[in-house]
Amino acid sequence: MEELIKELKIKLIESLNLEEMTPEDIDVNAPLFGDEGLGLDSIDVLELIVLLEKDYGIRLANPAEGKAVFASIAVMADYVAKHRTK
Amino acid sequence: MERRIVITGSGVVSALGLGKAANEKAFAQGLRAIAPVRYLKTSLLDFPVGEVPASDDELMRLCGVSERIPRGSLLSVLALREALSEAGFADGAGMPLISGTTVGGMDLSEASFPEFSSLHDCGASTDAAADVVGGFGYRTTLSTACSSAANALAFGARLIRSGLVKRVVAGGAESLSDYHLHGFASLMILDREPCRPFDLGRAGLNLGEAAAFLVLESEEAALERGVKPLALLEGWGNACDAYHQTASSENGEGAYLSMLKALESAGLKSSDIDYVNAHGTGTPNNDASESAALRRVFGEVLPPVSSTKALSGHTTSASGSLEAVFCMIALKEGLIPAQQGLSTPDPACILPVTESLHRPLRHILCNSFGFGGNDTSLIIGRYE
Amino acid sequence: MKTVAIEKGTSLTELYRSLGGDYPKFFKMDIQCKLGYLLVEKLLQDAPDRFVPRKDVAVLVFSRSGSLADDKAFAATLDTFPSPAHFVYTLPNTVCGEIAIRNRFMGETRSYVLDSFDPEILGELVLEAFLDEESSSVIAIWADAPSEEEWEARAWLFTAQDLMPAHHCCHHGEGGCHHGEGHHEGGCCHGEGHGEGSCCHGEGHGEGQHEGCCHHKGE
Repeated sequence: MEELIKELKIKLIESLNLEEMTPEDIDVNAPLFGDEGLGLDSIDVLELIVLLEKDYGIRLANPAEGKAVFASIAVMADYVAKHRTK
Repeated sequence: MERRIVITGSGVVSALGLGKAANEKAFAQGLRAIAPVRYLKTSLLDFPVGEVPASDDELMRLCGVSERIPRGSLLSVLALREALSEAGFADGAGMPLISGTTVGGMDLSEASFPEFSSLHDCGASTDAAADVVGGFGYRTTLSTACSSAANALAFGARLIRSGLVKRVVAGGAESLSDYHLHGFASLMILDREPCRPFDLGRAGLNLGEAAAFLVLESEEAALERGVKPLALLEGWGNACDAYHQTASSENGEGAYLSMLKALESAGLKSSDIDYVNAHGTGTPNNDASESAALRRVFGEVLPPVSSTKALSGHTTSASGSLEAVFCMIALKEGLIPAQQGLSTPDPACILPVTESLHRPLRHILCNSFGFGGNDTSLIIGRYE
Repeated sequence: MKTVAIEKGTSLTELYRSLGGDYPKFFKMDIQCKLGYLLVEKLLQDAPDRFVPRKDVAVLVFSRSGSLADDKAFAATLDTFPSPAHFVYTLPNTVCGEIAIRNRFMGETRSYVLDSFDPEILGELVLEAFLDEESSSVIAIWADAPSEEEWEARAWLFTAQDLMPAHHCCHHGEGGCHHGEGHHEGGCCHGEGHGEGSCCHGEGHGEGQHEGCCHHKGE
């Protein structure tokens, strides 16, 4: 799980252009969305949905599902570990 | 007193058919022309669209051209000829042509040179159509996504009002393309079913294609020619939502401002509006946002509202002028179209018209809201 | 009238940081939006009441390439996984949107694709923007970026003071007109005239500085 969490942090930073962040900056339990979190928005949800399919073979049906899965890195890692097909 | 801008000709090609007669008939019947992709070359077949019922070859034949030009240009040629003919012109007659498009000639580029699909510019597709029809003077192409054609009409009106020209031809065209069909799909805003504007279960929009153009003149210039105007372009307003690249703000600020500006420019009060042809794409976001804006403009008592995108699909850059033509049909027929695709109205949205209404109409408000928050509202009025 | 530019080869990230760097969304933008964003940051650096929502600033964006660089980037993802983050920038007018969101501009925004940088067209359209009485200033931007590395980026901020007082009244004729004959102070004038300030077309007698978009035969 440690590896996956690290991997997800790096992928997040890369695919969402979080240029000013390093993996150490991201708290595993911090909300990804909203002002207290990384301030991700609806387009970021869509990009993460693409990332899930591209890198882990997981297909989410709609953006609403995405918001729940991407609540935090920890929640995301959990979901990926359970549902990945790649 | 500002000079009045009149409409003396209109032309249209849409999923409802080629030419005004077909569109008027379908409009009156509330005919939904949303169906699976038939002509577009694409791997994405999951989403129904509002496709013009003609292949590129058929369109080439109808236009009388032998050299391939973009589908959007072919649609434009047909719509332009119809508008010019109605206005009493054999061709462009030296008038400026203002067209709104975003896809331009991408259908050709992506089919021939997929790696160059981004190189086929919008201005070229307008020029291609203008060259086939002939006779135009100044040409320009606006590209503000879904408000392009509405902005083209507003720009044409301003040119006339400034006194620089007496008449212009303005409108817009958009054909389907693999590129933007995939793009909209990646934003997850397409419905796998025919769209349901203002419905509780609405799940997105259906992409459509169309071309629609109007001949606009100053009232004196039209009367001088002995032509009776068909309708008035009474007002226009453009504002920026300043919220998000593709979503609208919760309180519909940009939409609210553009509607207010349109009313102001027409010298009308909100209570003067007899019908609102909404942007109403059928996405959860737009319909909620537009509803908020409508309530802010009209207060407790809303005029009848409906979205004709349930018939034609969302024709993006062409929607402003296509829907202006629908508004002209509504004025002419004294018909407010019912909202198609409605089964359970969303209580958080405005309640659209559920049954078609027949009554004389004087002023219609028409909304077109584009990606980037570029919001435009037009007011089409009965000529009297 | 104020004018700024961003030379090709400038590190946009460094420029962003030097201008305050408090807007992480910058890094998600395509090259055209980044340039537009930075040009306006430069123009409005010392402006009072920034970020108060307003409708009186019109934004006009011009380019030859539009969103071409991002269009290509999106096209490259079409065969496998179309990228929504790229798709939202495949329109030339998203520059207007990003500037409006950052600066809370709710007035007029327009985007044009031209064959080349054309000062005359720019000048005419800037003047036309002032015809809307709600617009007391106009930001005009030339941000042409056919790729991430190649660009031309300049911007101008015009205020109503750059135009002479009676600019609304007519386009042809005498007196306070900027087309035809007349006396023009400041701002954009077309045709013949006696001009001060910038953006003159045609013949004119100019005092002061003519920067930015300017063709004139003058003294």
